[in-house]
Amino acid sequence: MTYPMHGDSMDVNPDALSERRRRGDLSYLGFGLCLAVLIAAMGFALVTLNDSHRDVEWVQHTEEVKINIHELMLAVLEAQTAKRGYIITDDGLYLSRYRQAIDELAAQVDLLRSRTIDNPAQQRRIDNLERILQRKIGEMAQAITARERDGFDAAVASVQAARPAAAMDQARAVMREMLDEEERLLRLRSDEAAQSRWATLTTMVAGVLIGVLTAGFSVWRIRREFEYRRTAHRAVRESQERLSQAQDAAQFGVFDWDIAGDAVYSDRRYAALFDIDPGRPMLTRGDWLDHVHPEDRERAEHEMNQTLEHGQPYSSEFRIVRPDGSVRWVASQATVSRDENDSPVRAIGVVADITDRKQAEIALKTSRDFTRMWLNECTDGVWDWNLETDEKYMSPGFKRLFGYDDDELPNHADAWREILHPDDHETVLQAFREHTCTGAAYNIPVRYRHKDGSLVWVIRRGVAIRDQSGRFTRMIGTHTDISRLKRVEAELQRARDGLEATVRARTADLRRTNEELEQFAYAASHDLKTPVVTFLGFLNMLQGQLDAGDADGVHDSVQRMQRAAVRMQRLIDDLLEISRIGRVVSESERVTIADLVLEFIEVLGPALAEQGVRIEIEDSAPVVYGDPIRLRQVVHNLLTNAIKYGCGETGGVIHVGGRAEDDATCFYVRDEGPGIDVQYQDKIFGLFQRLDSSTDGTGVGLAIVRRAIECQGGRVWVESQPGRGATFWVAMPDENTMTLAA
Amino acid sequence: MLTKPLHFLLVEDDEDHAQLVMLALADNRVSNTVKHVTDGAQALAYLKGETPFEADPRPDVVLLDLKLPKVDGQEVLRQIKEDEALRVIPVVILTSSDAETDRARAYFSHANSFLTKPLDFGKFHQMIHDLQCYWTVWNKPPRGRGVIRRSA
Repeated sequence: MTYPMHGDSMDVNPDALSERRRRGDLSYLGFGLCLAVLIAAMGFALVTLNDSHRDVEWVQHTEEVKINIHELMLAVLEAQTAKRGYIITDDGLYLSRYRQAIDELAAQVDLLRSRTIDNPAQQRRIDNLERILQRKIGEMAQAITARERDGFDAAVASVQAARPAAAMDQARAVMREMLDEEERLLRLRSDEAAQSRWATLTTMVAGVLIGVLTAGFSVWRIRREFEYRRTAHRAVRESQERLSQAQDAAQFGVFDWDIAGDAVYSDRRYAALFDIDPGRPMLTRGDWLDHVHPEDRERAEHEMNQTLEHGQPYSSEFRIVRPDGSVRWVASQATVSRDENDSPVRAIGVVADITDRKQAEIALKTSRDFTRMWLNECTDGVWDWNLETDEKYMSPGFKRLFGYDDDELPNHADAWREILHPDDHETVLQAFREHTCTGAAYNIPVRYRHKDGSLVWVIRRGVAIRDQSGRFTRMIGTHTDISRLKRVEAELQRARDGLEATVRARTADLRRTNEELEQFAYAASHDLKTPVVTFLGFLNMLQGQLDAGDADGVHDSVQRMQRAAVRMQRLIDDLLEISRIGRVVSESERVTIADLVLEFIEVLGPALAEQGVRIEIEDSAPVVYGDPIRLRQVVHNLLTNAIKYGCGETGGVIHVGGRAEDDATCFYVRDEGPGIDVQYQDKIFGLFQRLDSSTDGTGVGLAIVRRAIECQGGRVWVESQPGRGATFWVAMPDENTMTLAA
Repeated sequence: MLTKPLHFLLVEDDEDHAQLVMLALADNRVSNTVKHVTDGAQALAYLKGETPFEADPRPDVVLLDLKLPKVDGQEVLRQIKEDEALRVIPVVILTSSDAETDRARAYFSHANSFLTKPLDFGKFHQMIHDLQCYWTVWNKPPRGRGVIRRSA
């Protein structure tokens, strides 16, 4: 049974395998050669033996032929002897003996003929011999016949006529030839037999020698092979032990699935892995599937089917659920063997517990995914700087911060320096020095030049890393875009500045209001009290004057009391007015100053003419944006002020005009009166401040003007030199610059 | 007890109040004299013998209102007390104000007295009367008033 093995679990390599196979073949070859040699030797021996046997037969045959020839000769002699006896004796016994010898002779000839049937030369000699013998026999028969018929003398005459000795000699010569021939043949065959025996002996010895050598060699080979196999077997056993141990260590189970019979055989490790009773392993494919995690079941089955149907190597990873409910990851690999119809019949495979690896894999993948996503998607940039080569990895997010695609900016510090703001190179260097020397945190705001030219603010954080020798060789860190933060910060700063300005303005307002309040309180305790003191004082005096009948005194006192009361009333009115100026607000609109002046002239026209006052409206008199009611009050007060203090007994001319400034529109009221000393120019706008006690002013008019204008974000001032008249200026902010002032 | 008449300088912008003060001062057996000016600038000019007051006598006591046009009473007081020639002249603040800040400032500037005008005319009259008595009868300034008129 061969399992697909991982790596080098068995120390067999293809070279060693073929080497071993070659050696084995050699052993078999040696063995076969040895056998072949022995067989050849035996065959040769058999052949030689056979030859030898034939040789003996031939010798024997020759002997027999020789005996045959001798027998034939004897028969001839016997027949001749018997004929002579008969002739001499006329005894019948000799005649029968003669006839026996003739028969014998014929039999011997036949025998001889048959024995030398393979030798044509001998046959020819036999033919010749037979002829000679026939003639001899004929002679003898004549002699015998002569005897019987004519008696002895006739017979002797017949014999003498026939010269029998010649025939006999001829016969003897032929037979001699035949014998010589047989002798020659005998000698020839004996030689052959001797040669054959020698050859047999030599072959046998050589064959045995070769056989012994080959057998020895084979034994040696076999011993070596045996030795090798024993080593190999030990190696296999050790390997199997190691495999077994490895299987134990790796929880490496083996299964053998008889597909046709749908029976799964498994080893104890397999059982341990699936936590099933080793005595009752899973029996069917269905049982196996039942153990597979429900979420993986479909996939695992599909993969198994792919292997079965399409012959792909089976290799799958899936989860199994053990009887106790615990889930394990396993890797399964199998090879499928098929029958002649290519139908799968058997699957053998291994199953290993890879839960730890899988968990690590999942953790790694999660980590990798996280890293990849972080590098690609995170709005923070990541950098990794090799300080030795000056290579500097910059993540896609890093480059995106500055409008570059990943491939647009090389991962080198030079490219980075290109986009770093020139003014921040020193900052970065300094931070690096501090970080590496003192261990101070590397955390600095720096600027970069965006691809579109705009400025990008970034928080650059990092940490330098030492190698084993303690040198800083690498630095990694992040970039966080703080442009928005910076913008917000700037806005915040602006807002704070604005707020501070507002607070300052408001504080100033408050201070001024407080001052005004103090002045108001002061006024309440002084200016309002003053007419009361007057009133009560003269009222008291009036009593005495009436008693004394002092009519002039009474008149004077009453007049003073009247003036005090009127003044009191006016003060109260003005105070109410100034308090209202700050409180009542109308909607701002475009107000034509000239219209307000004309309105004033219309109301006070006759009085003005009486006083000799002329009001001239210049073309420059502007249109301003503001609260129309307050502006009317301002124009009224300024004109009144100009008439009261700027025009003498004989009257005067008052000019109203204006000019435009950057974000404000100004108008003025100019008189040609005595003017105001520089040291008093600020003071005159204060509450109850009067420069001249001879007039009946309350010291509130200009305070109302200032308050009314400053409430709307404008300002008032006076330009004057003593003796050259005074110009009161009012500046009102333009419409679009009203935001903060409102 | 023989008393030499005193010369008062009344600095008061309100005509009526000035009238009331002068009436109160006149209602005495002592034949004191009063010079009335209506603002601070005039007061300083008078004290320093400037035009048009070159011929006028130097006052023995200054009655000074605080609320004055142009140069107010506190400023006048400060200038008097900072002037070596003038600082010996007693300055009595005579004002409608009873504000603590006014009192504190006046004292800080070495005012010699601080009087608030009562609303009640009887009390007002009494106060002026007492004031005159005090400076005329009880108060003893150094001989020759310790001062020599500034050589103009």
